[in-house]
Amino acid sequence: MALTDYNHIRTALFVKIEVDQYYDAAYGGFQNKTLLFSDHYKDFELFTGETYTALGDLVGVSSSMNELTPTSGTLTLTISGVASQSITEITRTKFNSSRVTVYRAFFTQNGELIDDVSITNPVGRYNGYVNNYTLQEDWDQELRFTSNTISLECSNSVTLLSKKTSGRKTNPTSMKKYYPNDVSFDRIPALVNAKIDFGGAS
Amino acid sequence: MSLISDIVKFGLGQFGIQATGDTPKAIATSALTSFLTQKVNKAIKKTNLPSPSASVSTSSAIATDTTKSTIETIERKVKVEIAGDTDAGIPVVYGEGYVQPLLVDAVLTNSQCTMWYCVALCEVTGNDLNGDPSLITFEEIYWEGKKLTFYSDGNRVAASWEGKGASAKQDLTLSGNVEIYCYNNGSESPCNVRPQGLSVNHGNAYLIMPGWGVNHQMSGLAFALIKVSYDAEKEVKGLGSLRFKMRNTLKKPGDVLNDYMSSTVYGAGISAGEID
Repeated sequence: MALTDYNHIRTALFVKIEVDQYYDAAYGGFQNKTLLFSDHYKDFELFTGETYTALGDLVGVSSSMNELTPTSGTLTLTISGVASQSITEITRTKFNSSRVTVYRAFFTQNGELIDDVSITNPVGRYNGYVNNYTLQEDWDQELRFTSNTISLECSNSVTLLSKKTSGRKTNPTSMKKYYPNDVSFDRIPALVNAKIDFGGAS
Repeated sequence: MSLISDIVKFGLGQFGIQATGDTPKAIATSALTSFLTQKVNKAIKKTNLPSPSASVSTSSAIATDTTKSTIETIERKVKVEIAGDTDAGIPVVYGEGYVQPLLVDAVLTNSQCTMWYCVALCEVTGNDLNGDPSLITFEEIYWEGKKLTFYSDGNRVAASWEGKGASAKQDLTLSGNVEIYCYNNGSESPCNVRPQGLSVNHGNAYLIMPGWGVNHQMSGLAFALIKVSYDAEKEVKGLGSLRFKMRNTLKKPGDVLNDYMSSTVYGAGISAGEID
């Protein structure tokens, strides 16, 4: 639908987390899984085949900045209301380095996605990777009820690259990291400060 | 008694002169001066004896007859301390650049008279944006700051040269005592220092380096094997301070940035899909 009423625009955030090793209790092991959720009021197919589950107010996304020059940036995703039976899945899942994409989409007051050539919709808001996660448990003594909140700390590529150290070093461990069968560097540790008698007696 | 008087007394004892009065004392002093001059000259000759190589920590055991000014025997052996480093980063060269070699292996053979060294030089880079592989070549090699030239086999050092042009000075110290085998992409990619010996192929590194087998691949590396034959007279007693001038065909800014961003070995390891 074309944009006609600028006074009644709705917006929602859509989060996509691509987890390489998600622990699926039903499956009984790890598998690739893409988590799709949004703070929209209803489930919505933002892209073909990608339906984002509506979590409404249970999703919190911290602010982020868009800058012309690439700078390091972090973003925190908070998901509340996690069921206690899901805790095992969360703690066993390897979230670190999972790719995170956050989109912002604009809707009309009727909940239809605005389709107007003058704007890009949805617009990409954040690209990054999960850097850390925390799980917070809130125990209500009176109600005998536990509610859990998971916070995913995300870092963009610039932040990760600034922390990354790469390059091959002159030791066998470093060589075998890239070329497991290559033994060329195996003798270097034994050669450090080794003394060799060079030249025979005349 | 003072230090000076002790010296005089020692000199008198050495030459058997009894000092009485001023004249004998003057004679004794003259004789002592001559004796000390001789000692100093001997010491100077000792310091001029062949010294260990500057690039490696060495110590030589030299026996001299203290009663004669000439050297009778030289024990032909030096203790070479290998300058290995397990935490050195291997450089990446784009375009042209000078690199210091990093020691990877050292083997002593031929009754301790031949030393083989393997030195890593730089990483082999990836393809350019057209998909053509990069090529690393050896342009020049310097030993103790002097440029090396080779015989027609491309490996044996013919001479080292100090300076450039007509004023360059030739040094034949390394001639016949040093051989350098170059490889531009692992053990199975022999090459030579350009432009000399371009047609020469010296074979796989693991067939040349003593003690190496097919798993000594030096994967993804430009490197060199260096054979040093001990020569006490010419003072070839170890690996000199080396510098290699390398050239990489990958030098355009776009190619370089793309390679450095995408390499999983020495770069950022960003996948091609994430690079626009």
